[in-house]
Amino acid sequence: MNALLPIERRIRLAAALVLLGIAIEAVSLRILHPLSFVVFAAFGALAIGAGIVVYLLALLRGVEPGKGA
Amino acid sequence: MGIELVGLLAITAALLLALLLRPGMTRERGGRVLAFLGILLLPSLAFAVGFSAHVERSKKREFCLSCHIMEPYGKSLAIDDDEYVPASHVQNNRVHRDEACFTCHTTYALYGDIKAKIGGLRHIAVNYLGAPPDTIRLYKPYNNRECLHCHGGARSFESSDAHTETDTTMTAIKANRLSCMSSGCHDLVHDVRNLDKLEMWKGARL
Repeated sequence: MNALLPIERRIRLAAALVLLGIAIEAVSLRILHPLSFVVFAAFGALAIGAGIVVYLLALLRGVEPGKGA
Repeated sequence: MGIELVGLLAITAALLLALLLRPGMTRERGGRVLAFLGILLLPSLAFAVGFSAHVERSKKREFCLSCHIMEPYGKSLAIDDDEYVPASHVQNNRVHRDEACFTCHTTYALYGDIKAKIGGLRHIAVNYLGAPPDTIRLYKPYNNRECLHCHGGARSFESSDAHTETDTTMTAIKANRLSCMSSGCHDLVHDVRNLDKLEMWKGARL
């Protein structure tokens, strides 16, 4: 099994975070309750947002001169 | 949850799972496109659609009544007396039963403007972290606008003797200077304090 490049590790982390956010969204949409909206808007948004930020940072670091991608 | 949203979530999850298990796929151009779709584009879209679905669901009566404190208001819709405005409206299908709360309280809590939404979040905080008040009151006196959405222009409303009692009565009602809920008019609403003394509609399937 090939070792992962740093950008690939970051993309994997980003995918994990966004997947968590999507799972929170899916579960919250199954429950009709004000708290499910709060969980979706707070934790779901946080996980998806964090994943996107990690992904964008991975892309930025990947194109910096002297850093492998 | 609509089939489109389920599909969107499933496709996004499948892409993310593939990236999670095989991040090396991003060495290829196709893999990088999939990463862009799976991590940035589709989740942003899924979040926006999910948010919209949540706001839409918050219009449901079941949503309002899911908090224990609102249960008596739900029960009040089964009062067996036509004088009670919410009960008679729901029982006679004058408003959609599924969206009965939202129809008459359009600016309230999570389904109103941004100020109302912040108020709705405050309700949740008070309900779970604080002490809910014994008596729930509207932030502002009930606005006739909510009644006039349907009744405005209706023959029964416009030609009612009570509404045309003086030259200024109708103008005052339409300008919200004379409340529809004024004493002696349509002043029987939820009356949750007296529910146990009131007759309930036996065959209610509300």
